[in-house]
Amino acid sequence: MSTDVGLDAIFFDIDDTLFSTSVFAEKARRNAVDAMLKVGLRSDRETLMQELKEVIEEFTSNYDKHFDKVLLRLPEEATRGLNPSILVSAGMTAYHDTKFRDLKVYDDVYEVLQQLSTTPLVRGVISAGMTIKQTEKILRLHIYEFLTPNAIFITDQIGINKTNPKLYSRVLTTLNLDPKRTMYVGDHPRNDIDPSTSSAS
Amino acid sequence: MTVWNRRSGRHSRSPGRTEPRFEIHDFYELRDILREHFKVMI
Repeated sequence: MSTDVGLDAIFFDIDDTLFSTSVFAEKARRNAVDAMLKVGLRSDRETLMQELKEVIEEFTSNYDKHFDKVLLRLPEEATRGLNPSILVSAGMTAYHDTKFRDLKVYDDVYEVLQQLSTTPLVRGVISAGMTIKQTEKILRLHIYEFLTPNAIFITDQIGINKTNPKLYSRVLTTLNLDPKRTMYVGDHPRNDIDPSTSSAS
Repeated sequence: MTVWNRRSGRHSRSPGRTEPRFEIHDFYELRDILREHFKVMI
């Protein structure tokens, strides 16, 4: 039995909603450290994974010199006689190769987005992160064709973080949407559900 | 209105202050909600 008023728009978080960010990142990082070992880095996979994990926690996932920092944290003998740039490039290349090969939305997500694209609903994303990285994901996940072009909102581009209800108010205002007729799908109770609920009240 | 996608399971132990309107584990469940509650023809 329907009790709802109707729907004009639906927005999606990207990471861990449209695809498994966690599984992808683990695989890409593992491939990266394996590649660094293959070109001669003297360490072991688990040590490197742990150092990489700490670097990402300390410098954030958007930092662009994770592998350089990992090398700095290893004993000197780990890189002696090796060109550190080759080691970093090996890691970066393997990471990006994994991205080109394995970045995919869940099958059910692709199917439902494709179906939604045949409806008059506004179909958008509200995502946190660096603009270029999030838009790259939209393109690599092959979902851009299913989205409404002016309904893509990325925190870095807007200047408001996801935890701030103003972000969702901005989305509604920009597209002249009624919050009661707008849906947002996200995976994080405090970063997605709480602030978007607050913006509608 | 909000939909909590619980598929990843990463945040199951970190409940927020507000209740989501719906909870799903995959997009087929989302499709059912859209059809049943909002008459979206997909």
